[in-house]
Amino acid sequence: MDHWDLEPDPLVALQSGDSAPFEDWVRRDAAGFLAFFRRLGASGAEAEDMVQEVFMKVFRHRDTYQPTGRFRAFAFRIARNAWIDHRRRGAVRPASAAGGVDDEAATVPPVPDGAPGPHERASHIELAGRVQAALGQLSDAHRMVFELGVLQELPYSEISAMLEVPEGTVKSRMFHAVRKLRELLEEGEA
Amino acid sequence: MSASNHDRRLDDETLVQWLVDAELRADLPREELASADDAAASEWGDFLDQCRNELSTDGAEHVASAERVVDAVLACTVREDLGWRGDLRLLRGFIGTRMRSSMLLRVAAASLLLHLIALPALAAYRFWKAEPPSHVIWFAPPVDAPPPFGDVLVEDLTLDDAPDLPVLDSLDSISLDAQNARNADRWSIFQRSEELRAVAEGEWDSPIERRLAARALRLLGEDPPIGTRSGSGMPLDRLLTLDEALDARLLGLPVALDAVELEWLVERAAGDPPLAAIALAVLRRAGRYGIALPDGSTVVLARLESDQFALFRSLVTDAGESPLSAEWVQALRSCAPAGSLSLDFENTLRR
Repeated sequence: MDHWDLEPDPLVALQSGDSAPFEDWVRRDAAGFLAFFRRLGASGAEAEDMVQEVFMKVFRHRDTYQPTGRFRAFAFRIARNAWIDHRRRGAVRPASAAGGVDDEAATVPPVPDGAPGPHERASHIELAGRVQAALGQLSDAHRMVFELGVLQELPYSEISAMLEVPEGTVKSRMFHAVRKLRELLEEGEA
Repeated sequence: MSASNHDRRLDDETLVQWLVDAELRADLPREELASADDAAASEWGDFLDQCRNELSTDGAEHVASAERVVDAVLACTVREDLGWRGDLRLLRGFIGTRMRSSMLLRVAAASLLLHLIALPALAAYRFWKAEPPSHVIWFAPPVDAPPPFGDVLVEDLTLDDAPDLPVLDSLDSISLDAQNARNADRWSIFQRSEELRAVAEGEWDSPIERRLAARALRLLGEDPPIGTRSGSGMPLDRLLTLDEALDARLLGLPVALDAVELEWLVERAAGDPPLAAIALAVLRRAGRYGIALPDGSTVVLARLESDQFALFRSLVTDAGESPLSAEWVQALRSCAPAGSLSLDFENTLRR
């Protein structure tokens, strides 16, 4: 059980006139959705546009929304559809090309107080770039399953419903994605 | 792939599935979890944790981007300001985004701003710093001058006595038309004076040509016009004589045309072309000069515009009805004896 199971559903709250949960959700998950789209291969500007699109679509569903599952799964279903629409429009670079550390990620951000030192930070950026590059080499289907399962920590049942594939297929894809990612990283270290 | 590797693959797959999905892991019997290879589970678990850590989103590079998104989303949803402040904020955001993305727009905006500032400043400068003109025309009535008409305006204007004007009868309109026709012909002669002089001063062989050259000289006013003359009695000669009499009328001589001659002219005009065309031209000219024509002349004159006289239609035009016109000489050549009136003579009259 994660914190989401304890939070009120933002759209149900909106239906009852309480906008605070929606606002909290936007503040909390904006960075997560940005990272989600970035890892799928979108540039910084494209990711911002798509995140806004996701939030706006969720907000527009407030009158017709029926809570049949976890709200987070519902939001990621919209995010995945937004990503597919974007890919169809041909506005995003191929995932392999987007892999690795892009311009924005390569820039060293300001170091907050108490943050790791320059060496540790550079090492972290380098390793994150390698993981990102390896993730970019996965197929779209494997990358999506890895993203939703490992990084967003959605259960297989919801990933299965979201992707409209059997749960066994989700599990199989998950294992192959993780193993492939591990192989790629080990090759890189070698 | 060996059997042990296959078993390991299956084990790994199950481990990964358990490690990823917390719900699945929670539902498994404890003894199944205990049977898992601890080292392998730890290995996969560490790897997944490493992936989560390296791909975590708590980097500072995401903060600014996330804040922009949050502000934009909240401004359009739960914090949407439907008042003028919201509109202003949206407009400001739109302009700011566009300005940041286009150098050309920034230059245009800077130019507009400069003009908006410069124009009022220039106007103010012109208003305050403008010097009065060196010469000023000032109209002001003299203060002590008497009014131009004195104190009292006197209406001393009276009606002028009407002069004794002649009383016109109903026929004067015809006289005016005749006068107008003669003036038009005089003007035409003035305009064609060079051609007429060339004919008058030319050396011509045939009697008709010399007669027409003498007529041209008379039309130019350099030889006294002739009134009536006796001719040979031939139809063409009689027609020329009548036309010369009309020249005399044109030049102001009170030459009367005999009614018998006019009757003969109407008969000839009713004949066949080309002689009838000349007769019709002379009859038409007499009518234009206000000479009373015999009965039936109107019907006869209409023939000149019929298809039978299509070749002589130019005699009805303004140029053709003028005295001794080239068109008239052309018609005369068609009925004169062969060789008596040359083409050179006709061409001399053309411009």
